[in-house]
Order: sequence, then structure tokens, then C-alpha cells
Amino acid sequence: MAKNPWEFAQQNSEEERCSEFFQELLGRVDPDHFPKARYGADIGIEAFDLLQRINEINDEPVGSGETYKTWAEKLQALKDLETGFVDPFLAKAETEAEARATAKSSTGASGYNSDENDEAAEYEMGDKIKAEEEKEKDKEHDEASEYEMGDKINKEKEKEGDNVEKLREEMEKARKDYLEMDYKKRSMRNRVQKYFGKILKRNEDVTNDQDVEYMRNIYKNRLAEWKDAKLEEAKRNGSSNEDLGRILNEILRETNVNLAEAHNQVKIEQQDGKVAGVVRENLLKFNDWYKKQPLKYKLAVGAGLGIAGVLAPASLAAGVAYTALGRRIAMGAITGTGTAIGLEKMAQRKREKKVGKQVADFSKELEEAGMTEEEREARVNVFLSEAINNVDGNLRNAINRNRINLGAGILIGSFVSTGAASIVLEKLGITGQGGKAGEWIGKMKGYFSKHDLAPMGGSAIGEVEIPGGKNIPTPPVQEAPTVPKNIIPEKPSGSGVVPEKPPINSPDKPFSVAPDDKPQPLKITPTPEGKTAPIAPENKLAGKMPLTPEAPKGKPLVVGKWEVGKLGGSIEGEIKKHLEEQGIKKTEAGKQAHRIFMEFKKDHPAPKGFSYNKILPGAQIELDSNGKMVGFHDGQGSKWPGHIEKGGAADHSQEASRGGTKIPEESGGKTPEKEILEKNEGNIKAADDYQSDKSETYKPAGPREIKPENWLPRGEEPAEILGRLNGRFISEVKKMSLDNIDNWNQIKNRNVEDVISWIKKDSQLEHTKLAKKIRDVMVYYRNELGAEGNPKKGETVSKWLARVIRERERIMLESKKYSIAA
Amino acid sequence: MTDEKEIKSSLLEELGLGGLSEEKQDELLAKMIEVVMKRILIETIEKLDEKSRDEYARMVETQAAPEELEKFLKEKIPDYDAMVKKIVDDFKEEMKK
Repeated sequence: MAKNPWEFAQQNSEEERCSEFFQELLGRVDPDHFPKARYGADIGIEAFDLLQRINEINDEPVGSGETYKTWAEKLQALKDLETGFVDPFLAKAETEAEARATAKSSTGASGYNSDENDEAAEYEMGDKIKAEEEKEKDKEHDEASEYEMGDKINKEKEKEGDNVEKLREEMEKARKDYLEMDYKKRSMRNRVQKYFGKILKRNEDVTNDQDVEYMRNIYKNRLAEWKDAKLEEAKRNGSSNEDLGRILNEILRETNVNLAEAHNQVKIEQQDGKVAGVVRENLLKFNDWYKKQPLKYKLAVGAGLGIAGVLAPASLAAGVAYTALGRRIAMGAITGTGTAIGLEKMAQRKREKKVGKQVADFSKELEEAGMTEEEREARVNVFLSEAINNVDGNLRNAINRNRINLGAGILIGSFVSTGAASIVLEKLGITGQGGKAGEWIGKMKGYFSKHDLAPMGGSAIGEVEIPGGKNIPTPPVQEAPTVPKNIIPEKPSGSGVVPEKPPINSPDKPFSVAPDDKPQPLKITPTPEGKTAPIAPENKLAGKMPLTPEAPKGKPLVVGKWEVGKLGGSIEGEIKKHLEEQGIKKTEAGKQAHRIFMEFKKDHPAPKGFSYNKILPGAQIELDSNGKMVGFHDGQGSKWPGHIEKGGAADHSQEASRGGTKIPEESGGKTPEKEILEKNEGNIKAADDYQSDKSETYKPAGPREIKPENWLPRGEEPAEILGRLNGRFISEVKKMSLDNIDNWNQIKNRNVEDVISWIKKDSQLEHTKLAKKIRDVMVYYRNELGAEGNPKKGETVSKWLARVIRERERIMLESKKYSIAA
Repeated sequence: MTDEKEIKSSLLEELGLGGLSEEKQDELLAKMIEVVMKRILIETIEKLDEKSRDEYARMVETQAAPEELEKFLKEKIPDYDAMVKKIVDDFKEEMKK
């Protein structure tokens, strides 16, 4: 065989099929059949190039069933059409007479078997092919010699100090050559497969192709030389063995990624036509986008693509959302769309959407509630106070949690920026008071923008379109003094201005928006149904700035309702109830109530042996205009003493912890704690089991006795906190175990990771339910604590739960340190 | 934002970048993610036939949403997710060599 393909095609019978001819060509690439594969490969590639050109001209593909004769005719037609076309094989032979001479002197070097050589000898082109082979061989030798020579030169230059760079360049060139050969071979294989997919079942991979291997080895040699030189250089520079190890590791890792990158590059360069155009266009966009992204976005993209693999359980809660977002970003970038959309922007949109709804709901409520002017004013007061307090609380928490929840900031920020604030103020008839409303809004915006709290989407701050009314011009944002970002802002103070906050631990000014800087009680009297009632006429705003209600003259604020003789609810619970009645969502109300109560206790510590845990029936809680708790009332106008007597109805937690709770008759002989204890005996035992953990951090526990102090760092928390921790632990255990002690016993000592995996792996419904419950709790603590809320590697369910409950409490305590005394 | 440290830690492990200086880790991580994204981009376009490529180009031009385009690619490229996964898996193996 091994004929000139032109002649071969023309001389064979019509019955022989083109597919066989191409099999022959392909055989030349087969290392077993044709050891001098490079040459054979070139023939094959050129032949297929021709084939494609024929197809383009004739608009009729050469099928595997086409005869040689037909194909030869097409070849001839092509030759006729292409003026100046030269048979690549003949041309090579004619212009390389020297190569022919060389071929004659090297008979048998072609690599064909003896039969094939005999057959090839009948054709002149056989000589030409040999000449080509020899030429290729010489070329390879020359290349090898060049590399050897290069090696010598490099060694000399090493003394001159520029050897490393030179070797790197050579390595990069060798890498490119190798990858080009690899791509060429793969490409050719693919094209052959395209035509003869059913026939060709071999050589699907070029990994073992001799040409590719040859070039790969050259690259590896260059790489080794460069690596050695780099290490030598490091040695000369006095690097320690440890440094050398690190450098070597870096080289290896860098080499891998550079190789992969070069592979991409070769692929791009080798493409043609429309594919290349689309690829390059999108790559340009991608490159432009990618280089602008901060590392955290790139990491998110990596996670989104699945590079991060299966996230550890510690990352599950965060990872799911993060990965999904990263995936979206990645797909946006990869597909050439959405590349401008950053993670932060997406999160911002989501927040703004949420806030937009809150603001819309709020505006609607004002519209539809049929409130009087005073009622609306009071409602706005509460709304803004809560928002401001929220921001304040979040800022404090951020100090400890290294994270910031922008929700509250955006809430009020959007309230201002979307124009809702102006609308509300206009409805209250306070827009015409010497531009005070505008001033207030401007300062509010200044406050939030200064703290980067509200990436506000709205632009309505300049001029606000009032539905069915006039436009309210608002002044530009008032610049507040520059404060370093790591400093806690000061709470807003007098004259309705919301200024910057002082540094941490600087209790300069109390939090008040009242003109006289004094915290004023906010007087909202609940109706019997617990709903906020209209404000008494004497408490109307009348001519004052917004958010500056007068001091109460009538009955103080009463939060909650209790029947005399029965136990009161917890103070925190009643505040929460009150906030919920003001339209705040349950979760947020709980957080705020907790903060309000904690701040109050900090400022008004209970005497030793007393606690604030329960409020007595009929008691009233007094909140000021900023939502800050200022004290109690007995419902008759006189101040409540501020604490509950030892052993009184409200002082259950300490009694419970001492095992001697005083039980009121009205409760049927049981305190709520007692009921919990009885109902959850099994769970409590499980908790006790956990308490007996011999970790040095915790104290040992007595048998079957709730001793939450055993879960706490020693000597830090007061008894009331221990009581709260205890209750929380039991509550969470109940939730996670679906109120079934057997479930708790099943999961308590298992790794959280294992239990969570039941969601996917375990078909038992109960297991899936349990796992989902635990996941829900985990998500809650993740939101509360950030990364600390995640289970640590190998952490059991019970250990994780105790830890996050402690951590949550610790943060609450820490945040108190930064609160500013009223 | 979620916990980047944990994601980063997982990426470092998967890509065999432990033991390097933090600066080098960041540099190589960014580069690796870039390379794998480009690889997906190139293969994605290669796998489309001419008609689909035109449609794809049009969608890019009109700034179709990423989800919309991903859906399109999944329709046009059999086992698109598997293709992406294979690229990522292969890449990870390459990096660990």
C-alpha cells in the first residue's frame, strides 16, 4: 500500500470504497502500523483537508460508500478549479530532491513491513514518502539537537543568572508545541470519526499517540530543566529546605494551571470560522468581567461550578445558597450574559424587593386604616424608631459577628429614598414647616449612606411624586462627619437629626430623637383586644417635629394584657407581642424584644436574689419613643419598682434551678417550668446525659437535674441567663426530636453531618423529618451567628446545639457592652 | 454574604493548593477558576451546531437571562450538566497531578 493517495485513488477499481482508502490513510497514523507516525499523520490530515475542500466545492459530502473513481473525479475537479493548485505530495517530492537522495540511502527506514515496502517500491511516490520520512526524521533529530544545544547554552547562561528565564521560555514553547500536536491529533481523529464513525472504533484517544508522546516528553524535559534551575537559583539565594519544598510545590501547582490555560489557548487559536468568532467574542467579555471581580466572587463561582465538591456539613446551610448564587454568576459569565451582575448586586436586589414590599405594605396600611392624623403620626413614629433601633442593634452585633444584616438599614433607607417618608410626612401635614421634613429626610439619608447601610435603589430623594398631590422638594443629603468604618455610629440625637455615632464604648449621648434630648415615653394604649388604640389628644404631635412625641400625661403604655391572679407572661414575651401588634414580623419582633429587655436589665440591674423574668399580672411596661424600655408601671400611674421580689410569682427561673419553685395555687399546682419538666422528662434526661460530658469547659452535672450552668463557661453568666439557656436547649431539643425522646436518643450523639445526610440518603420518613428539623434549626443559628452557627467537623447534634445556644447568648451579652445608656 | 472561608478551604483542598502561601493560594485559585470557566465556555460553544450557535449569539446579544441561556444550552447539548461536571472533574484531576 503506502501509495500516493492521488494515484491510489485513481487506480483502484470502482468497487473499492473510499472508506477503505481512508482507513489506509488513517493506518499511517496508527503507531503500530506506521511507526513514523508524524509523517503519516500529516498525510492523513492533508487528505482530510482536501476531502473537506471537495465537500465545500461540490456541496456534496463524500460518503463512506463512495467509490474511489467518483472521489478521484472530484479530486480532479478540485484541481481544475483551483488554479495553481499543486499536489502537496508531489510538490514536496519535486522540490526536495535532496530528500529523495537521502531516502535512497536509507531504505527500510520507513517503518512499513516488507510486503508493503515491496508494493510501495512500484511507485515513485514511495520514494517520495520515504524522503519525507527521512526529512521528518532529520528534522526531529535537528530539533533534538537544538534542544541539546539549548541545554548547553542554558548551562552556560546559568552562570550569568538569566538561565531560569530562558528555560521558562523554552518550557512554554515546548508546552505550546505539545498542546498543538495534541489538539491537531484530536481534531483529526474527530474529523475521521465524523465520516467513518461506524467503521472506526479504534484510536479514540490520542493519549498514547507517538507524536503526542514525543512532544509531551520534550515538554516534560524542558519543564524539569526549568524547575531544577529555579530550585538551584533559590538555593543560591540561601533558601532553606523548607522554602525549597514550598517553591517546588508552587512550581508544580502553577505548572498544572498554566498547562491547562495553554490548552485553552491552543484550542482557541486552532479554531476557525464562526466557532472561533463566537468563542473569542465571549472570551473577551468574560476576561473583562473576570478580572474586575473580587476574590470572594470568584470563590463563589468556583463553588457554583462544583469545584468545591461536596461541602462539609459546616458549610451546608451557607453553601447551598452561596453555591446557587455562584452557579448563576458562573453561568452568566460562561454564557456571556449577566456578567455585569455581581453577587452583591443580586443580594441587594433581593433585599430591595423585600424592603419595597415592606414599604408598600406600610404605605397601604396608612392609606387604608382610616387613621386619624395622630394615629398615623404615632404609627410612623413606631415604624421609624424600630427601624433605627434595628440598625443600631445590627451594628453592635456586627462588632461581634463580623457580619452585618443590612435589612433594617435598607428598610429605613428605602423608606426615605423611595419617597415613602415624604409621602407619610406630607400626609401628616408637616412638610411645610420650614423645610423640616426635607431636612430630616436628607439627614437620614446622609446617615445611612455614610454607613453604607442602604444601597438604595430609589432616586426619589430629590423630588418626590406624591400620589394625587404635589411634589415635595427635598434638600440634598447633608454630609455627616467622616467616621472610620470600624467605629460604631452614634445613635441619633436631638432636633430630629440622626448624626454619626461615637466610637465604641463612648457613651456620649443618649438615643433620642426628641428635641430636648430626653427619652420620652411613647404612649400607645392597647385596646382590650391588644390592638393599638388612637393616641390621646394630649399626646398629639401638634406643631412638633416628627418622632418627637410629648411626654405622657395620661396612663402609661401598657403592653400585654393579663388577668389578675394568673401568672404574667415574660417581659420579653410581652414586648414581643406588642411589637408584633405594631406590624413587625414575629422573628424580628422577638429579636427586638430581647434586645430591648436586655438593655433595660443592663441599665437597671436587679438586686441580688431578684430577677425580672416574669411580669406580675396587671403590670405595665413603659417604652420611650425610641422603643427603649424605661421601666414598669403598676397600671395606676406610679412607677413599678423595677424588679420582682425574691420568691415572688415572677421569679421562677431561680427557683426552678434551686429545685424549690413556689407554685401558685391558680396554676393548678404547676409552674410552666414544672410542666415542661414533666412533659419532657425524656428530653431532659437526654440533656442531662449531655451535661455529664467531661469536657473541661463545663462543670459536671448532677443526675436528672437541669443544671444549665454545666453548659456555660464558668463564672460568667448570671442565673437568669442559665435559666434561659436551659429553656432554649429543651425547646430546641423538642423541636429537633419532634417531641419524641426516642428520636432525640437516636440523633443526639450522631454527627450533624450524618443526620443531615438522611434528607437525601434515608428513605425512612421519620428520619427525613428529623433531618429537616435539624437543618431548620441549623439555618436559624447560621443566620444568627454566621459561621459559628454551623456544626464543626465531627460535632454531635447535642454538642453543636449546646454550643450555638451558648454562643448566641454570649453575643447578646457582648452586644450589651456597646449599648449606650439612656 | 456567606462564609467564604469554608468555601475557600474546600476549594483549596479540591485543587490541591494546601501548603502554599496564602498569597499564592489566592492567585492560583483565581486562575484555576478562570481556566475552568473558559474551558466550559469553549466546549459549550463547540458543542452547538451552527443554527444553535446563531441562536446563542442572538440571545447573548439581547442579554437573555443566565437561567434562560442555561435552559437553552441544556436543550441543545445533551447532558449539558454532565458535560460541565466532567470538565470540572477532569480539571480537578489535572490540578492534582
